[in-house]
Amino acid sequence: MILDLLLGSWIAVIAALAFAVVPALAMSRPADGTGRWPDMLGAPVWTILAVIILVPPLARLHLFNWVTAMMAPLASAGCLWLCRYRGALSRAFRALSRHSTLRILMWMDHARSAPRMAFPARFAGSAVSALVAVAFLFWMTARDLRFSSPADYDVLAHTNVLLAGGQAVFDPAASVAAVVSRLAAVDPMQALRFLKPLTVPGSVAAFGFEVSSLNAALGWTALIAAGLLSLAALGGVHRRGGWHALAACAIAMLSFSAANRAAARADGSAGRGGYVEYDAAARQALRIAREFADRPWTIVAPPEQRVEVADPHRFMALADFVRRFGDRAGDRRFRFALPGRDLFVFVERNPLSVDPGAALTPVHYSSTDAGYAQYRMPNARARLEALARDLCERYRRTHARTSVYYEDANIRIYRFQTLATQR
Amino acid sequence: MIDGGSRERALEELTSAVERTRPRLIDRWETAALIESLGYTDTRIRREFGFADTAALGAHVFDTLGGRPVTAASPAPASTPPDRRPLLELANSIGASLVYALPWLITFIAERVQPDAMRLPGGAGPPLSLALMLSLIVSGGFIQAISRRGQFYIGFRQPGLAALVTGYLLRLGAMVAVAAAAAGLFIGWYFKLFAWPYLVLWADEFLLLCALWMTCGVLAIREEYWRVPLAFAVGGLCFVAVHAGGGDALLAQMIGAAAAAAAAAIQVPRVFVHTSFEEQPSMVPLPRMTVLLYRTLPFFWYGTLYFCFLFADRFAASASVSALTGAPFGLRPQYKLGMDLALLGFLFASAAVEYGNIRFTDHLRRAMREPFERDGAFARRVIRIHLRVLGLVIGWFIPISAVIGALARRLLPGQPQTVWTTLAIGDVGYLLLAVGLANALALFSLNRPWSAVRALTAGLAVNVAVGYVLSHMVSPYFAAAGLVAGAFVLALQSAVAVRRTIRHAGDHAVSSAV
Repeated sequence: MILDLLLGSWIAVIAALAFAVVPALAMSRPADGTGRWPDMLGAPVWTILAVIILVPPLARLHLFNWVTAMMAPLASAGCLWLCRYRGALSRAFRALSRHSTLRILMWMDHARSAPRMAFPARFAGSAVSALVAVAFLFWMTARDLRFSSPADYDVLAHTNVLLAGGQAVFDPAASVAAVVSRLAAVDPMQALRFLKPLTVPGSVAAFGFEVSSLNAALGWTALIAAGLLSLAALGGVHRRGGWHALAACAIAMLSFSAANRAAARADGSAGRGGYVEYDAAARQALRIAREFADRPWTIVAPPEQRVEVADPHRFMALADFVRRFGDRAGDRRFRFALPGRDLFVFVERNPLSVDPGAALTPVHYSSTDAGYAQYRMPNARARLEALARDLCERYRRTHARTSVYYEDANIRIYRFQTLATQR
Repeated sequence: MIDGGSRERALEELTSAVERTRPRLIDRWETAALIESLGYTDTRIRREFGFADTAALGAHVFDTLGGRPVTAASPAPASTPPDRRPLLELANSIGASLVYALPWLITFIAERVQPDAMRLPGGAGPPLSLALMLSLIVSGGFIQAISRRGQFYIGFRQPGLAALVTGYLLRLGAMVAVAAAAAGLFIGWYFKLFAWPYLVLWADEFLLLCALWMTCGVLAIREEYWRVPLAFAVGGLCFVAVHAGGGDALLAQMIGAAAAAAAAAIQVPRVFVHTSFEEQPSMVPLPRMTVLLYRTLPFFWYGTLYFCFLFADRFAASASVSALTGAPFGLRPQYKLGMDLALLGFLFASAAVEYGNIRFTDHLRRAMREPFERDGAFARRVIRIHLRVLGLVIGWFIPISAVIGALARRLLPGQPQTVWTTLAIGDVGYLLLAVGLANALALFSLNRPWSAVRALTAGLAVNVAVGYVLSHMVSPYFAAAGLVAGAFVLALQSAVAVRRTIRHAGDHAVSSAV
């Protein structure tokens, strides 16, 4: 739990720096002396919009890496600067360079003689309060690594596609998660998990409308921001408020369009959300990917683990596994004809009962699996899990180098080592 | 008190001195500045000439000299340095370029003749290549700043001040290098670019090479070109000795680099020794370092951007190999061979850039000594000089590249066509870069350093953008297109800047720049 909290705080800090603090600093104070808060809200809005627009083409051209991930959040600030100083770019750039250079040089001059500044106690208090608030938020919304909506696994799959490069997928939440994942150097699933608390206002609204997905939450959050910025614009609080509101509306429109693409294919009960895997399954999948990074392995599990391990060549669907090897596992001469030195089979001791709303939610990530439906129907899932458990136990009784990698009340993960390639 | 006769004589001598220094004065302010530069303060002027200050005396001298006719072909005054001999300058320029071209050539030949001797173990190649490129980028600015400031003070016969200032810049460069190494270690670890042993190896090599390049920059202050090759020769001998003793290429390379840095560092005190012509060290207050740094900024950026430009295509090509194939950071062998050959040609041909700049400055200085016949004549003459320099650079570069290309085709048979295509594209890019650098040096001579930096920045931006995007979109070989596009922008923008400076700044501004 402590590790989760630290990880969440790290992701929150990186996301805040990339999407709020740095863009807000880059967006200078308005000259007319009006309030600063519309800009504080406008900076992340413009940054998210820039990321949503830029990341898919960058990924398509194999240009999305940690360097461009660092530059993408600054793109909006750069564009605003170009817009503001249009017609006098050279002069403005010269003034900015001169000002920055002199500031650095003067700082170098004074740094040696300047007295050491004490950290004000009130800042320490604020920092502790902020940390407590973040911890509470994470505790309330991100205790589980698994996602509460099947649609979010689609977002995870899209994030993996963007990170791998070569394809462009238009998915606002995936674009933001890809940038956060690159900058925070964390698994994309962790990035998505902790993005949810950061879109809390929208999540609440989305939950109220029974559309529980990260894209919907992002859309609602943007809509709330657009409302606030519109008020600022109408009340004359800020002269840039209208533009900020327009950008927020654009994010909302793009996010809702991504969220509704899935919902449009479903009936009314779809999209409510619900869990489709045990939390331990997600955690162990990531653990295997991390611990065995330097050697080949294969995971046999329900389709959610396919998107969690990112590389589809390291995954085999449980239904396929049972169908191919079910009748031969007890034979001493039998060997699994699968790539990799380690085979991890995820078997549920207590089959998961998927919520009907989640079961009916159409998702893209598992649509290629022929036996996809049996993971959503309680009886079929229970039968499949029983067959898989029986297969593994028979193999375990007749072969060496087998062990249980992980076990709790709900799942058991078998580990079969030194696999031969012969059939 | 000074009597009237002595005062008249002293005033006449001063007027003659001003006339000798500047036969054609622009205005009374320039005259006042010249008088100040001859060592006259307000107090001394009041005491010796009875004028209120330098401005009043400047106005008087200007009015006096304004009435005298300017001789069209006045002989060169004794106090101005005679024009250097072109052949000697040419030899010096070739020597300066050979300092870098010869080690590159030797390494290149060794790689071809004894590939096993130069092969690095394991995955050490990519981090060491990165260390080499990044060390030149990080230290390039300091090398320029050290060289320019050092030469400035040595030119004033103040080796003590030169030692102080270069020492300060060296310390600053060392701090920046250590900070860059720490940042590089963090980035490499954080983004999982290399495993820890290779990261440490990268940091070692990076710091070692930064120290070597900056120390070599100090050695070049006095234009004693034998010092740098001597350090490299010591490093090369150590490399051969370690390798012959059974050490692998990595160990030999590290020890060779360390030995070269040590050999260079040992020579540093000799650079600042007071010769019989130079003043003995005196208690001169140090220039304020903030001001000094601000003055050296254009040179600093020029050095940094130059090396960024030189390696941008290699970064883009290596990154695209990694992004497209998942292979480790590194160049395709054919691309590396083609661009290495092109770079070899550029290094040999850079003598023309150096020599062209010397000729440009000399011709400009000579033109300044002659009176202006009519408005715009001086500018037209400077334009002709500039065009002649560009012709020299192009006329030097093309035969050298052709010879290297022909020799390579004969000595390296069986290489795929992509090597020769890359070589041809690289040659075009480096030719444009040579033209751009000649223009940039001309801008420095015309006292427009920021124009040179601006042109180099624009060229680098185009180089990175075009090379990076095309190499990722199409093929790693298209990184060379970035070099050509960036060099074209550099050559064009710097040429326009030179022309604009000569035409728009006016004859007087140009003539007072050098």
